Amino acid sequence: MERRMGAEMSQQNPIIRAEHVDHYYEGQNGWIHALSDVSLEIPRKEFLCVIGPSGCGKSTFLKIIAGLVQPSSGTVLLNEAPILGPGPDRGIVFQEPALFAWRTVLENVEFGLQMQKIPKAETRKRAQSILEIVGLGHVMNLYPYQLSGGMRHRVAVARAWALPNADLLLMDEPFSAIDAINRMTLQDYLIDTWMQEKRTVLYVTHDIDEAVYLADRILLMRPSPGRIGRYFQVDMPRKRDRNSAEFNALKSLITEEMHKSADPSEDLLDAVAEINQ
Amino acid sequence: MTTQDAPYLPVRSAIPKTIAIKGARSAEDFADYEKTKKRKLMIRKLTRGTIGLVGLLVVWHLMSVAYDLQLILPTPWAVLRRVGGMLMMDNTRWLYGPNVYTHLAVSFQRAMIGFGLAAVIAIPLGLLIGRVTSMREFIQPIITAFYQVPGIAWIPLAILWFGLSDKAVIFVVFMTAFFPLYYSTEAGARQINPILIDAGSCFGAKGFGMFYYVVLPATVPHITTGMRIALGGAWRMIVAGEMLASSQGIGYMLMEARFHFRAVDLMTAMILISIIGYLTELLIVRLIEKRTVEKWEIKTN
Ligand SMILES: Nc1ncnc2c1ncn2[C@@H]1O[C@H](COP(=O)(O)OP(=O)(O)OP(=O)(O)O)[C@@H](O)[C@H]1O
Ligand SMILES: [Mg+2]
Repeated sequence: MERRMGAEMSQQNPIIRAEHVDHYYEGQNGWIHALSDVSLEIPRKEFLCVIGPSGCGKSTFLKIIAGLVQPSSGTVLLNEAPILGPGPDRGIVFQEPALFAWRTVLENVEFGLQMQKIPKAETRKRAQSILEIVGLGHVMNLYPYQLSGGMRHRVAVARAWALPNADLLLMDEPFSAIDAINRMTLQDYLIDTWMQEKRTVLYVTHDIDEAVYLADRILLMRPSPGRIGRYFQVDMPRKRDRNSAEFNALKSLITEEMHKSADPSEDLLDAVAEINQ
Repeated sequence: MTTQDAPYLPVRSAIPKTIAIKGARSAEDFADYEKTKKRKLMIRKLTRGTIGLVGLLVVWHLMSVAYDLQLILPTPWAVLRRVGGMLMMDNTRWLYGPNVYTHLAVSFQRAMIGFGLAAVIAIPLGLLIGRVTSMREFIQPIITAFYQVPGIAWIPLAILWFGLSDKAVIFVVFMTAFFPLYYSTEAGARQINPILIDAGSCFGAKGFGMFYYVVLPATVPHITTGMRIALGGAWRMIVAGEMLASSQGIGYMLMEARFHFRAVDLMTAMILISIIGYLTELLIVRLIEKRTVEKWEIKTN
């Protein structure tokens, strides 16, 4: 009885809980304030899209969750435990493909499974089927240098999807280098697989259309320093119709907000409003 | 030519000739075409190389004959005949103990043992020190201190420790081959694109797995560069070592030839050293490169 209670509790706890995270990078002239007071919770199984202008700290936040960057201050909890380092419980797609040049496409996708000592036959089967899904079945035995840029990105996505025990997928603009038609196909595959076996996805993108199509919730970040802007809940049922009025209304709302948040005078207005309160 | 035409000219001339394959439309046609092109390029390379070498031989011959220097600078023909003679073991004026193959084999074996030991120690150590800061901070000063001592300076101590023997020569070869291997491997491992290490650790590679599956392959281009330098150094040192600390091997042969004032035998031995050195490089380094760097198309940055 108690154990069931525990399980239920952990189902309700957010998978990620970030509290007052600040991060500074050492730049050429002093320190760059990449993230400022970022607090946020990601509920289990949520598909969260993060958008925001270039340089607002989206990749930095993703790397902190991946365990690759230690925040300058604040805490980030993964399943209520501090993140001590990277690991295969989180699948990651970097902004650049970061493939291993010395492994074939298939071997790249198998990498995570091989490191976890999953039996060879099972590894191969899983990697092959995922490569088929992303449309790379015919180039499985080529080396990365033999692929086009977009194909490399798809391999990177497949490598992350292949991880069997990753409850959390971290994706940094995974489809931005892929042509519009293929991108839509991949978005559909992503949503389909996500609907089949729901996991938490943190998805960074520049593409507002993509965010509205994919997300349960959209986080708009604001630049200099990078911080939480505002959230948009997306309640449309899937699959979403890109031509519906609702879809386009949300898109223009977010676009407008993004323009506003990129405008530095907004900061001033905010500050004035805060003082007036 | 009108001024309107002018801007198009550079574009037209920039089109490479290779595009114009008459009637070639299928992949097979193109493969054929590529094969012929590769063969032509190969032949051209060989011809040019040969012309260079023959030119050198001609200059050499002229100098030898024109200044009447046969005693200290024998003609290329005399040397080539001697190379042939030695390899055929014809025994004319043979003053060096066992046959030439024995000397070559002894030298080759020593060089390979010294080089092999250096590789087995320097490569893992370089990978480790390139990646693990604490290791680097402990060990780098020691290695830097030893690096300052040229390999040849170890010969007297080696003779003291090991006597006039195989071991002494192998030891100095080891000391010479170690540093280039170590330093290239270390630099390569240190300079790996951090995102590859990040990718490795995010996908669960750690400890030995990280070194074997990520760090080692990513460092291979540097390792082969180091091997090339180390092999060259090993051959140089084998000769120096054998001149001073051995009664066998190609270095010993060189020294003996000088005592007997046999310039033709000196130069013959030198040519043999060059050939063997070239062949070992071909066999070891080129083979590794073919199966790694060239297959993956990665280069040192
Ligand atoms: N390794 C680093 N060293 C120094 N500064 C860095 C480093 N990485 C990021 N920064 C800085 O931190 C800020 C945030 O960078 P980040 O990569 O997180 O932005 P981003 O939102 O992902 O941008 P983009 O949309 O262009 O990918 C930028 O100003 C950037 O210059
Ligand atoms: Mg980014």
